[in-house]
Amino acid sequence: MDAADTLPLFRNIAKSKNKILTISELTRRIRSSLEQEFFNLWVVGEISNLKKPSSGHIYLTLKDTGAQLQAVMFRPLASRIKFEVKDGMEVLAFGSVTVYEPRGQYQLIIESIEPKGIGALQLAFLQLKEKLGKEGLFDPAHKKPLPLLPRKIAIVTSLTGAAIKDILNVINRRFPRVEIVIYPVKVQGEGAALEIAQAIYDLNTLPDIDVMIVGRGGGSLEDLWAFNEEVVARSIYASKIPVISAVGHEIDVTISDLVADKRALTPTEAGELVVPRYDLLKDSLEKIKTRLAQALYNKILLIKNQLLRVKNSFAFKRPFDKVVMLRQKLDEFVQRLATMGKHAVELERERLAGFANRLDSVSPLKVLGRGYSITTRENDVRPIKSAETITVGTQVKTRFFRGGVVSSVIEILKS
Amino acid sequence: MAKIKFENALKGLEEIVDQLEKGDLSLDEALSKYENGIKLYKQCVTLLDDAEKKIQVLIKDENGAFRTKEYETDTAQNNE
Repeated sequence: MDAADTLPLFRNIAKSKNKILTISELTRRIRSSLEQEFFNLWVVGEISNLKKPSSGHIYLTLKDTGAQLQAVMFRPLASRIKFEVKDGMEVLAFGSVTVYEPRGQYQLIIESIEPKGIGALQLAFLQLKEKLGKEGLFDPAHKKPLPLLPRKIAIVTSLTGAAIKDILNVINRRFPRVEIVIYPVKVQGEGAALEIAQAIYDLNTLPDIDVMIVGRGGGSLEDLWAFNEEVVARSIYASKIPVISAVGHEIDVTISDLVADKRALTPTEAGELVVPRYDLLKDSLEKIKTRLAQALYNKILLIKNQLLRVKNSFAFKRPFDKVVMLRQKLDEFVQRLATMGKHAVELERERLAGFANRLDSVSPLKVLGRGYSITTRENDVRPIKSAETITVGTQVKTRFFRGGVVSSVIEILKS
Repeated sequence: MAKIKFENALKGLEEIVDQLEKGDLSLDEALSKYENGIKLYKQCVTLLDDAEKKIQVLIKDENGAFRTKEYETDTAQNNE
């Protein structure tokens, strides 16, 4: 059997006057034939033999169960793929078939590639989320608390967007007297992510920023993309200043939101998170002050009652020491209250001073000073009020104004 | 002015009130707690009321140095 009978290509060549082609000529003709036939088309397949040399080009094989196709993606295009291309991934690839002449191999030059069944950006988001999650960038333990009352707030966003106005409005409504510094950045498009990351870094070199808001208003997934870039995520993570991420609307969750110390659902909410409400804070401060005064007042009442009990009990074991000590304490107390000049306390001071005078007038010291004495059983503190309660031979103790005696009863006198 | 944080002063104040309300302090202790409490309260009020409203835009020049200019609402609106 003759080869020319079975292979049409050879038949054609045979027709052209038996011309003998060089390998290069043949290959070139095959190439131009394939390039015309298989131009700008989509293919679906699974990635294998993925190679990413330092040149930046990506080499891979696309295959299904029955066949395989060599493919290449050149650097400028390859560097623009948002998600990470991996072996085993099902993809849709767009491009044209050509022949690599030195090897006589046909291959697909890929112009764009996307994961099958999921958007490229969506996949990129999931991949970065997984990667950074494993590294611990979303770890709640790393998140810094927001200051309750910031003195200086930084806002990283576009000057022309809706977000800045929303944030400023809310802050002005809640806590108008605060310092704000806006760091204007591009929030979408080429270079936006780098600008945002740089801004976060720069603000960390300033000495007095207490908290920062990083964000923008709503938009498409593409518009918000800068906030899903790794460089932004890493600068947020590295920030020593607490970061509030405020990107788009509630349904838009970005990588920035996950890394930030606090996620605001919207720029408006960021304004609510960043400052307290002045009136509420002021109010609770006044309440605490009232509690403070009340607590001291209660304490004073308690001490007063203790003094009253001492007065009434005529505690006689060491009556002088005790009374003198309490008097001293009261004087000191009254003096200190006088220096405080708070009127709740002022009032109490006067009442206590009056009380101190009354206490003085009933002091046993004064009674004894007039020549009276007090007699108790030797081991008792209660004064003996009736001779009938003792018998001959009982040991009794008598207190004079100065000193005292212990004596034995030799006779009972009926009154 | 020493940089005392509002939340620290507030927390200190709340702790003092709690201790005073428990009531098992001596008179001396209660008084000095009260005095400290008043001091912290005054610090809180100062921090709350002393701030000034100021909105600025940060601008980085070619040399990487920062300067600021006043933020103007009108400018931002015109750019849109």
